[in-house]
Amino acid sequence: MRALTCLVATGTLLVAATAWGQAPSFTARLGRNPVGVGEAFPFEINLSVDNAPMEDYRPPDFRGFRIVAQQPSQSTQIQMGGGGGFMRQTYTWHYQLVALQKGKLTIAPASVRVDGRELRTEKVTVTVVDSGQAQPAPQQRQQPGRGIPGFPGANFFFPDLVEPDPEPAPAPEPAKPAGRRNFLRAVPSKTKAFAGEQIAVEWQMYLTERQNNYAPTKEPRTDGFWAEELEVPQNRGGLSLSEQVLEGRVYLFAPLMRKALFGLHPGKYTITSLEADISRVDFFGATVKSEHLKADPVTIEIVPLPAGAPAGFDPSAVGRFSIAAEVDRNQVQVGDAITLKLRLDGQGNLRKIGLPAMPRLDGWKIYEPKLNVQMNRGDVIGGSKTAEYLLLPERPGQTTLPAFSFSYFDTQKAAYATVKTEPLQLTVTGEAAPAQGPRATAPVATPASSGSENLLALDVRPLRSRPSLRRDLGSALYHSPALLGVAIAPPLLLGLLSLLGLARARLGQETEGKRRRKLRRSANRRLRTATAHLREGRLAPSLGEIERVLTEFLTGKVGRAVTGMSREELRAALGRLGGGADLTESTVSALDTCDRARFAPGSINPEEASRAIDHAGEIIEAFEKLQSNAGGAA
Amino acid sequence: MSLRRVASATVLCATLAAFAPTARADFLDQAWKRGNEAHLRGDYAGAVAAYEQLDKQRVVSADLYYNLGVTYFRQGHLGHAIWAFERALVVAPDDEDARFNMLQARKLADQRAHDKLEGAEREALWTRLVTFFSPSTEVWLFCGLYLGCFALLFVRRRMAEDSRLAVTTAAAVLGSAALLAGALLLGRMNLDRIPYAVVLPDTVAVKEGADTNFRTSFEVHGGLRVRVLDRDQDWVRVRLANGLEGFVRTEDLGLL
Repeated sequence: MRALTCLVATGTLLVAATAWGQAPSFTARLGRNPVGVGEAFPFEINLSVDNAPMEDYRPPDFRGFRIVAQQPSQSTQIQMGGGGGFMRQTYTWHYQLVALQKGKLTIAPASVRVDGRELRTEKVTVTVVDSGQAQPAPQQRQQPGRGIPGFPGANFFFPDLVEPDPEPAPAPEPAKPAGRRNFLRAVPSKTKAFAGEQIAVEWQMYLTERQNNYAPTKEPRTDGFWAEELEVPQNRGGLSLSEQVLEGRVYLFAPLMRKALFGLHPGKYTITSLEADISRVDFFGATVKSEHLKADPVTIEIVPLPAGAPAGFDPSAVGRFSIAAEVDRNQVQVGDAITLKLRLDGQGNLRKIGLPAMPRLDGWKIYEPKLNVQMNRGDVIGGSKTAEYLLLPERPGQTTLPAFSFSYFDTQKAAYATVKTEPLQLTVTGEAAPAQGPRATAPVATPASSGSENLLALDVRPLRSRPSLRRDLGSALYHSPALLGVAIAPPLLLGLLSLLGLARARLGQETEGKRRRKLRRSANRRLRTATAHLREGRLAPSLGEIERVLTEFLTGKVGRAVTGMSREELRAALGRLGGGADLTESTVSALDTCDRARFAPGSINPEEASRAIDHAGEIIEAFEKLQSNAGGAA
Repeated sequence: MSLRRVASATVLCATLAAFAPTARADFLDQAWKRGNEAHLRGDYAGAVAAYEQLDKQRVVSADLYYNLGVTYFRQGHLGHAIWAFERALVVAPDDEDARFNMLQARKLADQRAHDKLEGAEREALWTRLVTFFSPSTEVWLFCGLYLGCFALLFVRRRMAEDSRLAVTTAAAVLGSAALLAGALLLGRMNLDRIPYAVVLPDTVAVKEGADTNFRTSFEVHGGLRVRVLDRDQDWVRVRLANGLEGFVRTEDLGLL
């Protein structure tokens, strides 16, 4: 395998070596054959000579064809070796042709004179068939607007866009004329640029046939860029249409819009689509066919400028610039003005770039400059920016106006550069006197030490550099939904509290029935306790509970404490309850039994205590019954 | 879930709740410092980027707008500078520095191009009344009076019958004042439904419709105050003080 490789390499070298020193070759080559009527195809004439002069090239007679594009190119091959050097020149004329009729057409020979000898190419016969029947054009992997298909490397529409394309070519598609379509596209001059560097973007329209109306519906947004309009060739105020071949197809081409963009900050920015409507109208002006076109958005990467910027560098100063300063005269009398013109020329964002500051001059009054920007909006933004200063001398003497220096980033050299003006010598004659110059709207500054009027330009008060940001909570609350909460919450809360109070008041109210139930519950509880004491043989506590149950119950019924009452008072109170003499006496007797048990516990036996519990229960029941009868009668 | 877990989760939530505003405040303060430092060393683009980052965080601060205005002014973007100073004045109408700087910027902008509006009407009395105070003042005034009124009503519930009359009277006075402050606030909110805006670029062509193809009705210049009536995608319908109307791109206006 290695031997085979060596053999092939040696053979190639031999062939190459013999090629030099050969007679000139002059050939014509057809990109493809057959071709369809109306379809563009490449045709190439090639001349290869050894360091011999070439003159009087005569192109072939392209009868039956129309030339839609042509471009000459030249290349030189040089080889130096031990046996001497060889140099071979290759001239190539690229043509894009369109066959106008069907049949076998002949392209006549081209001629050229080399070293006094005339060379001619062979005739080339082209078979022209109906449109769509010809073999498809070989598809090149091609960026929009780059080169002519069929001639790899040839790129004479956008010569500055030639760059190797490392990506593999996609699968070829047949170039059918039926595949032609109207479309818009945006072509940036570059997709990666330094911050502040100029990028030209052109929006183009390709039409398969002539249209009557074109109306942009959405203009592209160029957020993240400083944008300047560039001139677009126009034809009598309308679009400038021309024929152009793209991917082997002939289109009507028109540039729509061009912008020069300057990236403001590093990052990736997308330029949105241009959208437009095109339409055809009939004889009466009615729309026959309309179509909405949209260009693809373009993403551009802005990279930061490299480190090492000179002091006072303006980040907008990216491009190529020169600076000049001149005065209208070098000698002047006190009181007469001199005009100083400081002019910056070049290509870049001239409107944004600041000119070098005017230094203070002792004995001179300097007025606010008149700024003027002249912009050329051809292929790129360029032009000049001029500051015109009025200098008024106030005392005689010699003054040197120091050099103005301007630093910029040179995109071609990818390095910072500084340009300077020459210092200017100014001579002032006459007597020192207070100058009465023309009234300026805003003088820059005058030296305070000169004793003259110290006029200061319009300016703003300085920055606030507090250590922390003071926020306005009131305004934040104004824009916040919380304000609604503040408005709603207090009345809501007050209403809720009122409702709660009402409910509580209602729940807390003690009715007669409630009170009776409470008394009854308490009495039952105490009677159970008394029974429990009795069961355990504790007679005195048992009867103490009975006394408590009766006094509590009767207090509740009578409405005042019965413990402090005499027996007569108690009888009278119970009588008022309407229980009758029997019930009254029975109650008093029960209370007496309890008293006896308290003062003479030994006088009570368990049976008597059990009876007392039953008796107390009967008294309570009798009074309850009495009360419910009274309530029912009422 | 055990009691310990519940307690841990509660502590974590409380810590997060306590530190989240602090972290945000630190971030905002850092951006603020970055902007100030960039401005002081002459990097105005960097300063604007830092201040705009704060603005995007919806920070409402007269200081922020003031510094943004000064930086725009240094960059020569007078329309933007006027807009920023106007925003500072909306937040703090008594900010003397912002008012001075806004007038300076307007003077310079007028030297470039001046929009003289023939037949411009003075703002209605109601509008002037409503915008006499800052939104912040109106909000605090309303909240103070309103909450004070209700606080008295709450207190009244707990008071003895004989001292209730005085508290009721005080609550009624505060309530009436809160109603007035609330009316001012509602008036401002109503006014904000048709917001003001400031023209940002040096020159803007005002179109007859929301498209570049429409005829240019007239031109306005950076710093002019307009009312925003309506929006149509990337376009807004604006009205000048003298009643002229037209369409401009959204990006050419700064809302107040």
